Amino acid sequence: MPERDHTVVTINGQEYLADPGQNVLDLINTVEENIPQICYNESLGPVETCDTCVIQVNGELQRACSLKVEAGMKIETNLPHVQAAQKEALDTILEKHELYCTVCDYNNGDCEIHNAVAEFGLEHQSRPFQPTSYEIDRSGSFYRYDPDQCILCGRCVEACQDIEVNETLTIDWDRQEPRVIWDNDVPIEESSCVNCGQCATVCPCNAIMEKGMEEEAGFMTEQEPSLLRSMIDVTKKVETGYGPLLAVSDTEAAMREERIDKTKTVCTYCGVGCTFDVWTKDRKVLKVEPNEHSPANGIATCIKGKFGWDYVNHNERLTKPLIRRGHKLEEVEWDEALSYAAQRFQEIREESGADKLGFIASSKASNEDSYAMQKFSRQVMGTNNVDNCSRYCQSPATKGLFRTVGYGGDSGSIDDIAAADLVLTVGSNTAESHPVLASRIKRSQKLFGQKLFVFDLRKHEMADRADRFYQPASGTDLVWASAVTKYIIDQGWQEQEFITNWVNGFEEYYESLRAFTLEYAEDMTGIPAEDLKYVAEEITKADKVALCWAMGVTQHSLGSDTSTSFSNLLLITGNYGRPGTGAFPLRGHNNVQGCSDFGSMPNTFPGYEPVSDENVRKRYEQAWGVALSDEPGMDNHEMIKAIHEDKLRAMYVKGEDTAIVDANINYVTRAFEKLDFFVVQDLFLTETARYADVVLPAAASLEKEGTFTNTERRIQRLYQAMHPMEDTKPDWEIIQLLAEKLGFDWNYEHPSEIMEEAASLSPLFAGVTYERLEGYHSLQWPVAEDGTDEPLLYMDGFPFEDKKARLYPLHFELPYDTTETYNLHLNNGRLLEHFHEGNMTYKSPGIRRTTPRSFIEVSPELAEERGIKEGAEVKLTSDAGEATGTVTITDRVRGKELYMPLNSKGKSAVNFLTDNSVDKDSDTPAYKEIAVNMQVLKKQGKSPIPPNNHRRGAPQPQYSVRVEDKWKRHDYEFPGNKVKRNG
Amino acid sequence: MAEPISDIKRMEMSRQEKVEQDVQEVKEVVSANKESIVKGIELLSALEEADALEAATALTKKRKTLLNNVIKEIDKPKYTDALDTLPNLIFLLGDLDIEETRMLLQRLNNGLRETEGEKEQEETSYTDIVKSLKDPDINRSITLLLQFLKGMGKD
Repeated sequence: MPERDHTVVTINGQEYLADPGQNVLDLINTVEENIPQICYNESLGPVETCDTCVIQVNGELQRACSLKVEAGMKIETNLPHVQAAQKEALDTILEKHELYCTVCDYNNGDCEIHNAVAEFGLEHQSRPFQPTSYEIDRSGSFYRYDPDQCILCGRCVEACQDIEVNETLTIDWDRQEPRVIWDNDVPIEESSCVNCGQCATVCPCNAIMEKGMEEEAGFMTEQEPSLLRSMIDVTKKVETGYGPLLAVSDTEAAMREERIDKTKTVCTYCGVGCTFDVWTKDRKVLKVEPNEHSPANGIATCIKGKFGWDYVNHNERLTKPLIRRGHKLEEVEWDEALSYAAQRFQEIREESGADKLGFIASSKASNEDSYAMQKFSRQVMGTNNVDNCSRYCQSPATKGLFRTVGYGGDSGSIDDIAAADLVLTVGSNTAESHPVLASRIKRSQKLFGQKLFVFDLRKHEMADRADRFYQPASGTDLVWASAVTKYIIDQGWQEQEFITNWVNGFEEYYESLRAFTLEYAEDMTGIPAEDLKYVAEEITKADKVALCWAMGVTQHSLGSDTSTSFSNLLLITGNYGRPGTGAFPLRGHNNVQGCSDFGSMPNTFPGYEPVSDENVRKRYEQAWGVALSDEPGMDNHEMIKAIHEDKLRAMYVKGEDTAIVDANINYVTRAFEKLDFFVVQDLFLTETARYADVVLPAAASLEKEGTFTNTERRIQRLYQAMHPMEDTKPDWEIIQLLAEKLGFDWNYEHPSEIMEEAASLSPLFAGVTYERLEGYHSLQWPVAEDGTDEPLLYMDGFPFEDKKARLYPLHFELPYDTTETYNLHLNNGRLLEHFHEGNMTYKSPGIRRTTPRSFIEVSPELAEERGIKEGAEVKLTSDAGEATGTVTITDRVRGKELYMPLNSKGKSAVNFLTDNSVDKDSDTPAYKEIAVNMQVLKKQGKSPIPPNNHRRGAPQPQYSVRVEDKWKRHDYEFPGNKVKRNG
Repeated sequence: MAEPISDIKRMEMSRQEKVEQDVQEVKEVVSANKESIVKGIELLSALEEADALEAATALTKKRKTLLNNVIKEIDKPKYTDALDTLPNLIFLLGDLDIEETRMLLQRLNNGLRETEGEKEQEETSYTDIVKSLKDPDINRSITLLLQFLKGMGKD
């Protein structure tokens, strides 16, 4: 490697080969020379604030973290004056941070100040600790800031400005006593802080700390404040010098290991698939700690993953099975509930046949739970009537991808989205629905010149940040996408070589585009032809284009076709199979991908192999020892319809609050009332469970082992952080017990055995084993038998016989519009801090404090027209039903469009309004096509968005922590210079 | 027609059933940990014999009050010197010559034993003292004490 030959670097007299351009501090760390480095964190990069990593380079004292490797560098880290400079920097830090480790909740072996002082062998403080005049800020729900312990390293600012890119935190270097400030120096709670918690994660000490840790982590920290102060003082008096102090506190930290468990888990909220260690003391969650090994998220989290775990120990958890008797649900023992359920299932099957039963698996439960559910349905009960909630969201995207490129999942990883030159997001409120993934885009756009084009009805955060923001008319994305594609081909800008080598059906497809002229597109979408030309040019110009879409596309009557049109566009422009390119239908739930992957689908076995395929069926018949039906079953939309038509008599719903989340819930609950027998398995007595004959109490994700598959097709393991609460059980165990009652002894002792069976039967997962998924390891399917996975799909062609993708001709006909009676369009979607129907997040007092309820967004124009003000009460009526709610007036929506978060139960539930219209190809409800009228009940009132909600904050964007401002201070002197000056 | 129900009828376990269930659980744990439990009981009875069990119980129950009293007391200025001394005392121990100290202590012990033997003590006259100097044991002690006094006086 000739290039490396040129970058020989000498460190303390020894020669090393370095990567050109490598960070010098990184190099020093890899060769195991030990120098202090308090502000440096690999995930954040250099912030240059602490000055402790001073080294001598070619005779000059400099910060190691600021330098890039150059050939011939001579580095000294151990010379007396170098160490004197490092000591000077450490002393300066210790003026700002009181070492009372033994009685500090952060004393868990990973305090970076403690460790730096210990490793450096610093014995005495040269200058006394100097407290600031500021109070601790405890105003927020989830973390607190102690200016007296803050060393102003600025990691929190770096994380907030450039990793999360919420741009709330800064350090005001100009004041007498600099400190971290929120927005324009307001209390944490009143700021734009979204509580992603990353500042607390990266803080090297106890300055910003999760409130869950306070008085919990240490053996001696649970004391009243005045006593704690006395203890701190006594600790310092007794422990003269840092040596004994650190020794005592190290012992105490070791004792903590005994009672605090740190368990790797996978987040149970959205589809990004964040992984982290959850710190627990018995059943108490102290904190969530992501790390750089987390493949999808690194050190990032959002409010839900970091702080939203109260539901696990909530007193409304079901703890015993219930059986409907009279007007009550009665607690019974497991055996009674299971025997009864088994008996009723059996009776109904004998009377009316297996196809009179339906099963719905959960996108919140594990892959193993999904596998167990579809096996129960097919093997034990004998029907393909099994489905899951991807039917409510992403089936259309899957369909669109199957039609064109062959795999129903994101074509690459989140890293590819971050690496793209141009990102298009369509119908995706990414910053609220997939916050951690959105931050990757925000970071690439802010720091690395990535362009972001947003197509959406609503001006959400991503739209605000976008380089270009387009607002196509509802449901017309297919038109602009096809028109842009046509224009590109008309201009001869298509990626011809890619098309010739890898794509079938070009001519026929081009022909089908004839109708999609720019004029037609302008007409239908409202986007000017000139803008569409610009989009086409930019897509062509960009080397790497990633297209992300979500429910704003799929939950339409043309959801599958629109998804298909995006894939067509990517094929024509050669944006598949290369890093930084591809199609990304952003999955909404932790395991909505995996639940379909592992076979809870009416038409496919695990790995999307059709039930109608005889060879596949034989494989499963052999393994399961029964004959299997070749008839695809009913999807969940069809099941509800079938109940109304007396074609379905019994249902078993696991971890899905269908009575809230399905469209047209009046129609759904009427169906539930008609069922002869209904089993619901959940953590809580959900709306759905209220209709059940038998309710089975399930364990939460923190209470079990298993795997989830995220939006990147990434399979990740979760470990058990605590025992199942009281009499609850993991889903797979419950299903197994029920199968046993019906004469099938599955005999799984651990979910790994279920995965083993699935991997042995489904080629897509051939090489998936729990060993390969150990700890933070993950696999992105397809996984070959030798364990090779595919983070980026289609690098060697597409999974069709001739390895070629297929362009799929489409036409457009929009069946939906507002009417004279229902003259407003109601859009709906997620909120950052709540999830789905809110069964989990509304259990968090901290979240409820800032976001207590749902609301209805009304445009300023419409508000004026109707004469309503903030806090007005309105009733919305659609063809299907009515809902009432409180108004907030905002320009996020315009004209005659309304927006409602979907995270609401009770009278504001949006699905009182949705109807039975569906995507024609996948039966996904067209949740986003609701025409309503609005009746004003009260003209004005209390705003539904409280003053402490982050939406009312005032972010302060800047790059990093502005360390230059620190260096400009009159009282700042670089320790290297100080040492030199003092001889 | 299944109307929605929000009312849960909790399983009411009789006190008897509850006790039985708990006892069963405890039995299983005891059986699984027989040896350590027997050893634990031995430890408890040893503590009881030494009257330490009651004190330990009281101490544990009142630990917060105790810690509060002790810490707040010793944090008062009047103890500052003592607290400063405490670590110094520990460092001082490091300077002591353990071999020498052990010899000295052994001799002290011998001396104490000797006094135990003498039941009825007669008064000692000056001549008795002078005579005693001839006793090699006494002579060794006096020499040692004189040397000690000399060393102690050194700057």
